Amino acid sequence: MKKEYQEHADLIKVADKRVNFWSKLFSSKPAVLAAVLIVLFICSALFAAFIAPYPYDKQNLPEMMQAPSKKHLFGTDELGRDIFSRVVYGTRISLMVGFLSVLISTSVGTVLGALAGYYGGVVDQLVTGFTDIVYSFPVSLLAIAVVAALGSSLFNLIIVISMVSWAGYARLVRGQVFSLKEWDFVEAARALGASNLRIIVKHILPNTVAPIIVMATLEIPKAIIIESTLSFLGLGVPPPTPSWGAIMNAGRAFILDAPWITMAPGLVMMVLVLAFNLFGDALRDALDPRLND
Amino acid sequence: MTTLLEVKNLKKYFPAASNTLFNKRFLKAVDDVSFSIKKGETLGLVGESGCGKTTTGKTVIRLYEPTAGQIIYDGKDITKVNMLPYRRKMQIVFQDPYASLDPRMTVGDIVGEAIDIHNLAPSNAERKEKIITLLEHVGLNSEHANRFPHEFSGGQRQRIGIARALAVDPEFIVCDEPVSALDVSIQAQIINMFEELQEEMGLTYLFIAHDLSVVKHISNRIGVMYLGKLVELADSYELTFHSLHPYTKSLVSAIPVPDPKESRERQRIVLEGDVPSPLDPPSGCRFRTRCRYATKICAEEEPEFKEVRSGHFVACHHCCE
Repeated sequence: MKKEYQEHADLIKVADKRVNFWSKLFSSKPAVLAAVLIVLFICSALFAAFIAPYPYDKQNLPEMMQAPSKKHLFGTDELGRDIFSRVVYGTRISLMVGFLSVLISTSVGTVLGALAGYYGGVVDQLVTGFTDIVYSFPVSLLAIAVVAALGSSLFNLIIVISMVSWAGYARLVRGQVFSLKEWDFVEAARALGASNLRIIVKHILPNTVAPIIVMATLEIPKAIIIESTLSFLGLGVPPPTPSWGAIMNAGRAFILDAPWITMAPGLVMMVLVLAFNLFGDALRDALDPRLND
Repeated sequence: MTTLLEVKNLKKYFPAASNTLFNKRFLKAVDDVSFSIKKGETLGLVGESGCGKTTTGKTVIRLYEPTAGQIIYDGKDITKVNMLPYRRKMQIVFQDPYASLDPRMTVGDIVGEAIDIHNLAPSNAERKEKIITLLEHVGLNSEHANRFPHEFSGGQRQRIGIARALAVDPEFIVCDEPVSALDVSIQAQIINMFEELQEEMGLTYLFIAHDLSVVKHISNRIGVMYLGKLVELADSYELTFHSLHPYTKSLVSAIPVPDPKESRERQRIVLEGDVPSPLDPPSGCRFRTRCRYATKICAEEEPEFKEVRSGHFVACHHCCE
């Protein structure tokens, strides 16, 4: 009887902890709004074909350069293509670049940062040297140089953005590992005979997950902005695949006659970036151990 | 009784930040320390903060690599060998019960880690059973296994740390100030538990503390350290009642006496000044800057650590006059 009661109490405690995290995360209204927006954007990327009223590359010259209307929500461009449809499809590129490049840069940065922080010495000097080099370049300039050299494609775009953003994770993780490895629990694991790999994977990395997740959330919008910048400069995904930056670039020539061509993707991108930033901030507050308990 | 652990001329120097390029300085945390521990015995190690007692404990089980000297365990020199097989024989319990448990692991996983590393349980059910046995052994129960360390008090956390050390079924445990961070009422419980475990499992302890009254209760013999050196080593009783080194005498006089009359009449030896920096220790005898008996020879020559009575070692020029 007593045991059952105890188990029940334990269950409540575990549930409490989870509820605590989520209730904390969604305690602020901007965070809820941000989460809803992010989900909407993900849905529009996944179900673009069902949401977009027209195919993204369907030209309709009689209806070119029309202002926003019921028929064309965000208007049409100089070839009569529906901007709304193109923006919806463009979400795919933006989110794909955002998520994949962050995935790659997080993995690379975490591994290198963990090695540098844990082993120190020459490994540390090498990794720190590389991060300093990456940091010393203006990000967009480096990205332009690499894309110009490799040629522009979706794959290259993701690689380039990963190349310029892994250094932040490496620095973050290195610093975390540096202080964590001095803790007694790491020494205790070593006294038990744990290998270096085991100590890094089982003890050190789990304790750095929270700041990494926060950083990744805040890096996604940055990646999206870099992608749009490159596309705007004509170094992004080749046409006719719609990307927000490319749509803006195409509309640049008609900005006085048809401002909606540039404004629609710009505003949508602003909303998406804002959503990720708000969500990242809320996540930081909810995961911060100093604010917990 | 046979000797389980023998330490010969152990040194551990840490490189210190140097102000010149060529003159590399070292912090001599442990400088030429020798002692031995018999099977089933408890050797206490006392000294003030920064005297090198924790470094000695961690170097003995090779958590730090010794700079020089020899560590002989059960007749075998383990100074340079692969420690993995010895990790099952030598364990450590840490001072800080908050820093020594991984906050992201459940208590069951913390205690079970040794089982995973050394493959001590062939199946999951046996692993679980083993963890529960270990927890019960230190006065916790099976319900605690799924919880996280932050849900426990300091004393309970220290019990978890002990259970983790016991998981490999060790012979020798370095107790690195295991009760210093605990409330006095809890200290007694934990010390009694150490004693019970020793009796039951035939454990050998190197018990480190800065509080002589704690150490003298649990130890068979006691070593006193000052600035990286062992200054006196003797049987507990001998050391408390017939101490020879002036530093030990001042430590002994600081033990509280539960009798107010005796306490009033007793003479307290209060040391003057601070411990000199281990980066730049005094020449000759390291204690001479604070010793009231110091003479010329103390500054010139380092006193030898010699046996003055049976089993009573001391390093002092003047103690036997």
